Amino acid sequence: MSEQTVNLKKVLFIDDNLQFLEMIERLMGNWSRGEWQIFLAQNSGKALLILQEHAIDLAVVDVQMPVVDGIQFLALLNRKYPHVQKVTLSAYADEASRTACLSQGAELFLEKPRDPADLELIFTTLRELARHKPVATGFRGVLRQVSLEDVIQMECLNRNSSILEVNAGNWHGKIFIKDGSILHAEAGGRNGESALNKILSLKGGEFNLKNFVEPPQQSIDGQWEFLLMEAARVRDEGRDTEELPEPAPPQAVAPLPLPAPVLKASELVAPPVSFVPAPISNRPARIDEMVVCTAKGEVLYEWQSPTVGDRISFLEFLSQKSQQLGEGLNLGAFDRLEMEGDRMRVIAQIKSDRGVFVRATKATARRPAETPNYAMA
Amino acid sequence: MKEHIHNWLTEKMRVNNVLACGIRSPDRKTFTRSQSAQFTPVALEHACRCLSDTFHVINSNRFPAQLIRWVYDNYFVYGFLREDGYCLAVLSRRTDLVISQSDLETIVAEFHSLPV
Repeated sequence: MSEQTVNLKKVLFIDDNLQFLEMIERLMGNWSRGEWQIFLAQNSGKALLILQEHAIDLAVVDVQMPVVDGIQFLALLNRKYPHVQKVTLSAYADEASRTACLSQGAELFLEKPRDPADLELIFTTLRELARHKPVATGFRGVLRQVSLEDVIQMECLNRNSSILEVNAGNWHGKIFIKDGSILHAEAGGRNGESALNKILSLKGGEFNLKNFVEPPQQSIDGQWEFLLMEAARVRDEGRDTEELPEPAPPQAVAPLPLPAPVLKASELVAPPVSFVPAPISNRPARIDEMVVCTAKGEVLYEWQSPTVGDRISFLEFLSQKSQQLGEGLNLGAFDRLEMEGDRMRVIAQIKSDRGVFVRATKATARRPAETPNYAMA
Repeated sequence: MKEHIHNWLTEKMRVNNVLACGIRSPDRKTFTRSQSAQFTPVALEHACRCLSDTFHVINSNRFPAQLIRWVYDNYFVYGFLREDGYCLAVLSRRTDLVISQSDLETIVAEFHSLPV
């Protein structure tokens, strides 16, 4: 393999505007002088196929896309392909979109260019990002795995045609989707809805999206939304799971010490350090919420958390940002982020095998020396 | 060019044990100063962006935090947010040669009253 091939960066652009994609291909193809191999996708379904077939380095996603928008797609991309660098382009660069994109793993949130000069600036930014290979270790991207339902939903919403092959140990299944409708499913000698329910009741395994070929028969005739709901109902009732081989059980985790209801927040997670400045105070605090999860985002312990999913997403974001920050400045291993407000304190810790989130309310009685003016909102 | 911000950051580099610092404005301009080749302007600019992104996500999660501290093996990265969206990043060692508490308080108080 030549050096040029090794250094070739594979860049995928996802945008529903074909003219924009063609302009990108023409201009950025020229500017990259052979450094980039450019892939184009007009919808998320096509993008997923490209991602499956090519080792994409950088994905540039339009935020405003019909059916499955860029933020939804970004969330899926972040879970299934965590090591692909992600950038979003938006014609309406509002703060809400920016925050949502950053939360879902985008490295950059850029305003969509209005003329070629702006586009060249964006190219320069993307080229720098593509040259930087993220470190594939740590918590990042190994949190939640994408679910089968996510992929089926996306294929159907996009009116795609494909075959979803599912493997769990020695067990295999297939779901045939044509123009966004589920036509046929087969698994373990079963066909139709029974097979579909079997496949969707799996708690683990792998799946691959293949190009569509006609199924041997049409065994399913119904709207995909109802089919997925029915499968979920069957699964919840535990009616169709007993014969399926389960994946290997997760590695045993030692029981975690449970927090007493009232503790000093600094005693919970943080090891003692030699210096604790006033901004990160030692004021006594009452624990309001706690979440402990594995590196794959499985909840090990939850206490009074109103939105566990949001906390896990936050840990995922933190894992990614802490790596970016640490790599650039060569700071060593990341331990935790401490966040301090007037009345609350949050500690989020990322370790190779777990994430911990603790939110606490600080005691209301304030001592002046511990509450500098700048900490007040 | 906001010369006074550069000047203020340069002045802060004289504070004991401040290794590097930077300010990022709401319009994404970044000003940085460092006394170590380890902390290049590009890396510091990137760090300020990470900090600003983090404040965005923290606020979207309804944690009203005005100050954060990233804890690494050997370093602290402090982040401070003003109500007008300006962020300050200050880098120090974690285990020895730390910034004193009073120096840190002074830096933050000055940052909050720094004209922009």
